[in-house]
Amino acid sequence: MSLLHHEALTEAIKDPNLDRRLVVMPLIDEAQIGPATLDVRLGTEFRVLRRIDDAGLDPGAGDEAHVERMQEHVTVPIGESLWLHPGQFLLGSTLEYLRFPSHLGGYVVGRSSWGRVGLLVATAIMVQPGFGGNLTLELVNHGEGPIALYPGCRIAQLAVHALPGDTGHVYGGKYVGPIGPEVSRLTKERAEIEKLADVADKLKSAT
Amino acid sequence: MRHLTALYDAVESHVRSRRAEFLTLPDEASRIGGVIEMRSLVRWAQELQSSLTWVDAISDPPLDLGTKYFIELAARRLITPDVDLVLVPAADSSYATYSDPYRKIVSEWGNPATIEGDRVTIVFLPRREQRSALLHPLILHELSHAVCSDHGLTRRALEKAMKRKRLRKRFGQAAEAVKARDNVVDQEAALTVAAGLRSWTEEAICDAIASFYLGPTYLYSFVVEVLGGNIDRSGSTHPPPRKRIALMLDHLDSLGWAPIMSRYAGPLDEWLRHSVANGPAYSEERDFLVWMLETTASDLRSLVGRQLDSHSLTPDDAVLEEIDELLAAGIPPAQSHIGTIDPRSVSLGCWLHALQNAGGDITSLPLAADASGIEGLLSKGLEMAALVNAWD
Repeated sequence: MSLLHHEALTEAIKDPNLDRRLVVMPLIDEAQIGPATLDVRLGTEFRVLRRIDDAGLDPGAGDEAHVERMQEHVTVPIGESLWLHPGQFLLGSTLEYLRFPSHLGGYVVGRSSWGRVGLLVATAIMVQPGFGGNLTLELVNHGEGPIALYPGCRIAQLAVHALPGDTGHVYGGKYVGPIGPEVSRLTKERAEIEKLADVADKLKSAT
Repeated sequence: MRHLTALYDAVESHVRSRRAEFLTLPDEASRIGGVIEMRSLVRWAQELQSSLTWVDAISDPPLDLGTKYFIELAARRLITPDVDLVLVPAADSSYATYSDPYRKIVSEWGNPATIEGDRVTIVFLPRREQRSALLHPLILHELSHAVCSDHGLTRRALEKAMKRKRLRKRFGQAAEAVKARDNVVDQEAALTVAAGLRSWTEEAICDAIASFYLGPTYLYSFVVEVLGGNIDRSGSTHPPPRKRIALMLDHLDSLGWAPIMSRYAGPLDEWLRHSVANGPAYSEERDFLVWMLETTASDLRSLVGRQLDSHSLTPDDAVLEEIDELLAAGIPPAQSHIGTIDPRSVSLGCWLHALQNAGGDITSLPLAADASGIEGLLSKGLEMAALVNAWD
């Protein structure tokens, strides 16, 4: 897999064929296309984690509503800011709606300017071929003081890789076409946790 | 906040001056007069408080960010650049507009000029339609009432209309009919017809402004809103929806929208044109008012065209096609391959795409308005398009 450089990124973003295009909607400033990455901006919607007084998150319980209750949806207009306190975690998203064609994949990583003040931007960094949506960012302040987050600012960068061939296998997971930060769909993996319980039973009873 | 501070200062200044006078009242009779005035002051304060119920909505805007930017831009372009727009969800089922609601109350006691700052326009929208992004263009009609008021459009339209000899003659005949029907004196009958003339003219101007500014988007939203009721029902303040639709179609045709409306939703377009061509006859002053709207339609169009000037939306096939392609791929449209997209084209593109997907006939209108997928794409598209336009 080769990393797309500036010219290749520009070509992918401007491909007249929508099916082959790396959609970046909107690309506000062409200067976002760097030597080998594309800067992406912070969106206006956030999901802030609440402190709750009931049981914690158990994917095995399969309670999707519980995950929703743990988070509060907040909109911050352009020009305003949201303070992220030390140790605080919240979900944001890229301002840009991104769509990867089936022959491209990518990684989203923080920009060093933010990293140097303690901001972690993404933990689940892989973007699969065929993914479409505003990328959800997992924002954590690992620094010692609060950080103001401004929607619209360049928050992360995207490294885009060309796959050796177009396999036709594209992303079809739990997060299809989000247009803002998506809550975790971990509870949809309940079947896998039940399977683990079955396996544990078999291990105990195996002779 | 600046308004509230200015309002507080105006009230405080008034109360202080009155209190100083009350403390020095010389005799019993004056003191009784003072008590009466203080009671009035309390009632005035209560009225003032009830006129400020919209303030709560400032901290919790009822619309998504994209629609908020969309409506605010329209208000700045059409009313005044320093307008301060507040959108308030209301339990009522209809839309309404108020401008500077406290200014009249303050003027009863003090000098309204003491309230400085931007012009406040409050738009109430039905709470149940808070999330219906495709219906929010109806707010443009409400904003247009403020445009009429600020720029004297209704007055100018009526002055021009009353220069028509035939109109004055038919006005007299309508007043005679009202006099006979309601058993009232000449003057009261004339006032009834004049009030209808004024209200219907303003409604027609507001429809025209919304149609010029938004293109067919406003027509589609309007038809969804009136489709469930009797489209021939007219009131003393509003013309029958069938006539309003006819006028909007005329405006849109004059602006060159017909081919696009026909291409994306041909059966709906035919149904609308057939419907407006087959309306019932109206009686007495309603017949006069309908005739008046038809007679003055061209003048109103010229008036609104001059008022909006470069803010009229012009048809752009290529942009709408590109928006349609993006929506079909599930991508919120905010930018074309050659640059920015006007947020109004985003709104129209979403309507046309939803109509086409729902079959493009009259039954597709409510289906399109309720289509869940398009709402998110529209609000995100509006938000990002506004940002891209403001960035350049």
